[in-house]
Amino acid sequence: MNELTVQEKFLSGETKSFILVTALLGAVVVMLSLMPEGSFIHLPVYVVNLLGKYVTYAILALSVDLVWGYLGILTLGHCVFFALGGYVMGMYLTRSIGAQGVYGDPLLPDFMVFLNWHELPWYWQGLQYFPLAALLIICVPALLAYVFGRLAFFSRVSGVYLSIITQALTYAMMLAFFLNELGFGGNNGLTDFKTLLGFSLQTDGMRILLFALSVVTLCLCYLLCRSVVVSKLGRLCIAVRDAENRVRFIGYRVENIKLLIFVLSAVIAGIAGALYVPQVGIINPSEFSPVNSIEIIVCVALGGRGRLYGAVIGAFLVHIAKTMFTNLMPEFWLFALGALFVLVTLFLKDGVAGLLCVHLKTGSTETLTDKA
Amino acid sequence: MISLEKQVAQASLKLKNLAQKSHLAHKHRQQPPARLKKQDIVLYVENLTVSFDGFKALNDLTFYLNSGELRCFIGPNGAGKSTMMDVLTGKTKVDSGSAWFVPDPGDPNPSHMLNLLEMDEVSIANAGIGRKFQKPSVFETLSVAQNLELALSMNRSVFKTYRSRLNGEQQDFMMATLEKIRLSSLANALAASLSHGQKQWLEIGMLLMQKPSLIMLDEPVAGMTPEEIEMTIALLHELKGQHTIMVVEHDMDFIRAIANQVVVLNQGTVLAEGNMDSIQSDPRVIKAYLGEGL
Repeated sequence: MNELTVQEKFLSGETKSFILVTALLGAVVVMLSLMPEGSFIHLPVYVVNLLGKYVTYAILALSVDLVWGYLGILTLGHCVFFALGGYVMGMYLTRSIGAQGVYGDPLLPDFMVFLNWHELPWYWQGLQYFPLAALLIICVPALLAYVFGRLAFFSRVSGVYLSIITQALTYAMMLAFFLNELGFGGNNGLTDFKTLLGFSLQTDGMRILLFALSVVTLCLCYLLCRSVVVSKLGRLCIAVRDAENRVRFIGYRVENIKLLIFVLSAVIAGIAGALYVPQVGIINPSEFSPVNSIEIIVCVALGGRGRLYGAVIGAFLVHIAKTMFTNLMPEFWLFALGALFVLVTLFLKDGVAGLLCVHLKTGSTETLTDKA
Repeated sequence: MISLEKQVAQASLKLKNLAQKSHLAHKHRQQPPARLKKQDIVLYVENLTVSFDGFKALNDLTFYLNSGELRCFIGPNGAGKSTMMDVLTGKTKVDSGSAWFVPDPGDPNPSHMLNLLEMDEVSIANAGIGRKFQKPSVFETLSVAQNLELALSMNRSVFKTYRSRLNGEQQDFMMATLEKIRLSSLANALAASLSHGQKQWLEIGMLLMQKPSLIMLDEPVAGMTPEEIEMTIALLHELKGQHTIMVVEHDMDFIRAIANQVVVLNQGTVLAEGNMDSIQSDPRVIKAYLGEGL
């Protein structure tokens, strides 16, 4: 009799290679950037910074893959959680500026002085403490995801309607954050950050450190997601994706499954946003823009969904392409993005990771490819 | 055997009369039905009416199901067979009527009975009613064993599933179920790669993993080859007695092979009830089925 293999191994070959490759590439980048400046293998720090930004997008893509690839919810507004995590980090960094701002007010951020505000709003209180900021980076996206999920999943909104609502959510948040009255800096957002935990953000060392931190976070988030998808919970997600009603009839509360995964994914997205902000040095409402969320969806589709590492590969490919396009012909980027999405859905259903898989295992995954 | 069948038939006839007499009194009853004469009834369905845009899919449907029996429901298209199962599994809401379920046939306390009309799909499933759908619906991108694992009866809390692992006993149970549904050799194959008949079996296997006391099978042999039907008949004979089973089916030979008690539905209500021979010679049934080759 065959042996029953219900649960995949947590540290599968793919997982091990992913962690190994990511750690190795991260280490190489750090080492190259530490080479003496004149040396021809020296990596300029701005490239490290750029790569660090990509890594945070990769973490975001990972969180989208969890929701879209495994649970089958096409979320077109996941950047809302990314941006919220970013805003909390931005608030912490703004508070850290202290009296070093343009107006030199020890308490109020510059934009509040500019708006003639005299008091710090209540939601800015205490954010000068990093532990509270760190807690909020997790809690704020989680809370929004919980409230949203509670409303959407429990009234059994699904499919395309849910996608539209997620998009409306991020759009509404963008409009709200544009308002000066809300107290988040209006359309300029929060910027001119000086220090993080007392260390200057402008030094090369800090930039390299932030990059390394992002890579480590990517690996940890990957392992977390992996532990979810190999568990029975992960198989339930796939079951919900395949036949939601059937899952109800074998006695599971589908809404709870969706809610849990959605909140988890929002937390990961929030952490990604919090790592993103100190590296780019600004957070403004355009991070809520629906286009950003769609970009991440394209990343996951291109990389291959339902594979975790596919999302990471996709995030790098799309954002490298974006950087190149916006340098050469910025007005064409959105067309290229759209074309990429169409081409991937038509010709590359399993994405780049699917291609890799087929090449590595020479056909053993073909049945999977056909059915997916 | 025959005398037993007769007894059952008589008993259910008596019950039917009893129900008809108390029909009006029970129209809007929220209390569980007082125990009727028969002690081992597990499902009380009384005066169910469902209408879709004025069309009565169920019209005053009443029947009772005994513990451990296998009851077949036949009837022309649109007779309300699937609607009946939809109502009893929480998928469709009713206009009026009542449906009470006894989760544990050994427990005579009426206050432990469950009002199915007030429960949703999930709580009904967890109360011990399993259903196989007309169209086989298995989780195609999971393996056969994984499909069974998800259906395995255990704590359904979402947090628990993150840490849950199969223990030895559960593995043995799964092996035994795989054996029963003849899919042992395909345990690690993707459900998508199964034949139509095998998917039907897998779905029955998933039902068994839930350890339900009441099983509802909606057209279990639709689209099966004659050999597969033979094996399904054998499987149902194995299950008889361990579970209470309701079967909706069109295939007359199949019903003849498994059922001792057949209910004919027509226009949402019970047209006739009895064994296969008396049903087939009933002029009302013949009229309802005219042209459908009974």
